[in-house]
Amino acid sequence: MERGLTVEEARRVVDKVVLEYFRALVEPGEAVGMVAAQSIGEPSTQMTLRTFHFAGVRELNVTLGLPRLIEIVDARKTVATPVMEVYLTGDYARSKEKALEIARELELTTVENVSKAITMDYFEYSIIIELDPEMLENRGVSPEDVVKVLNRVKGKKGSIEVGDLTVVFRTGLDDAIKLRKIYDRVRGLRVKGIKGIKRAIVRYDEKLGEYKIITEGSNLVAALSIKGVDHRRTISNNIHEIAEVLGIEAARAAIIKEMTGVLEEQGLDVDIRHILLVADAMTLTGRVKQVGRHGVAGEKPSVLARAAFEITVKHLVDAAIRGEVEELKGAIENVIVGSKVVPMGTGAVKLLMSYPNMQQAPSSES
Amino acid sequence: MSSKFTIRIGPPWLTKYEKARIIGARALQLSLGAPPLLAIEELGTKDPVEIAAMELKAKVLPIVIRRWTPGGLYQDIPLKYLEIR
Repeated sequence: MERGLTVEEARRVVDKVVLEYFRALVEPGEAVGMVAAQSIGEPSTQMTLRTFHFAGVRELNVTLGLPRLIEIVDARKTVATPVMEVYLTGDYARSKEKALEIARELELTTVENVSKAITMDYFEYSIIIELDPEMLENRGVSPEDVVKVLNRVKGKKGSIEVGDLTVVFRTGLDDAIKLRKIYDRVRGLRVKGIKGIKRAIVRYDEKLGEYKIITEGSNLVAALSIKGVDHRRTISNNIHEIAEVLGIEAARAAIIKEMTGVLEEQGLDVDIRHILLVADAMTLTGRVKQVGRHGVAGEKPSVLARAAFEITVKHLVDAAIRGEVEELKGAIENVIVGSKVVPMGTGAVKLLMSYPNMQQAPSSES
Repeated sequence: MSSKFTIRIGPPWLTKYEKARIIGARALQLSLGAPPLLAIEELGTKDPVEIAAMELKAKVLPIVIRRWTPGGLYQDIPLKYLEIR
């Protein structure tokens, strides 16, 4: 109405839009999977030429390019370079100081990180920790925090003496090997932060106009429970972790985001619908499946389709033992068997003849 | 025939594959000597494929399309309910 349209005209506009939408749809019978595979596969061959392993994104190393694409499609449980993007809420997102505060909260700080030196005293069976004031300040840790952590491991016999910047941990042991063991344990003790997060970097997001934190290492469950972290936007690049913590739909979205990210970074223009198809195929069963032997291709109902992909003999033998029936419904099976028509495109169209002048004649195949 | 025929499977028009299949099937019949359903004197061609295309356009072919879903459902759709483009 505001644009000077009558109801009738507005309706026509809507109809036109709907029509255009239908026009843009893929027609039934189209071999979309094939097209998607080729549309992603071809550009990825160009990718190898340009970059292979790592592309330094400022301070962080993130796997990109073909290795990352393979990682996504294979649905690896462990990612080579796990990274979290932690978004913040309210004040934390606006001030750098506040953001740093959370970054410190995220970054794993061990006793070793805040010490100048940790030495063993074999005569007294004690461990002497010399704290580094600079690191303490940097990581936002007080000597008391260190003592608190030590208290948890000291046991019955142990005792702790606190000096100005030295902490002496008398273990009360009488075995040098045990001392050595506890020494290693003390070094790695968590004072602050989240397990698995090696580094946290505060970065200013110019698009959003706010601070966010990029972490090396990923631990969504722990990160989301920290106050000031925006649990709605914070994400990891580990698809399995996302599926576990946020659900399968989030995992699907993550696959799409990661794949478009890789392709875009390489300057490759792949229609999102191909990626949507891959993401759907990977997640439609409710859990993340890889595109391969142990997932999408390995769970095809047809024996011949599976055998055509990988480990042919094993699939055939297993199917024979189980007495599987080949329905010949898919394209691959029909190609193998040598059918002249394969249920794709024109081959998927079934035509019948109608006999308009013969009332009772049933329809039969032409 | 009831006028309330609704297409439940697929788009309300003839897909490119259906079109190709129909023209192909009909052209084969014509090439084997089937009588054309249009007056060929007026068509100006003797090519069976072209005749088949014209027959489709003129909606004179008594063909029904059986559209199906992977789940096993199907619907028989007479050509006259489909938009030909």
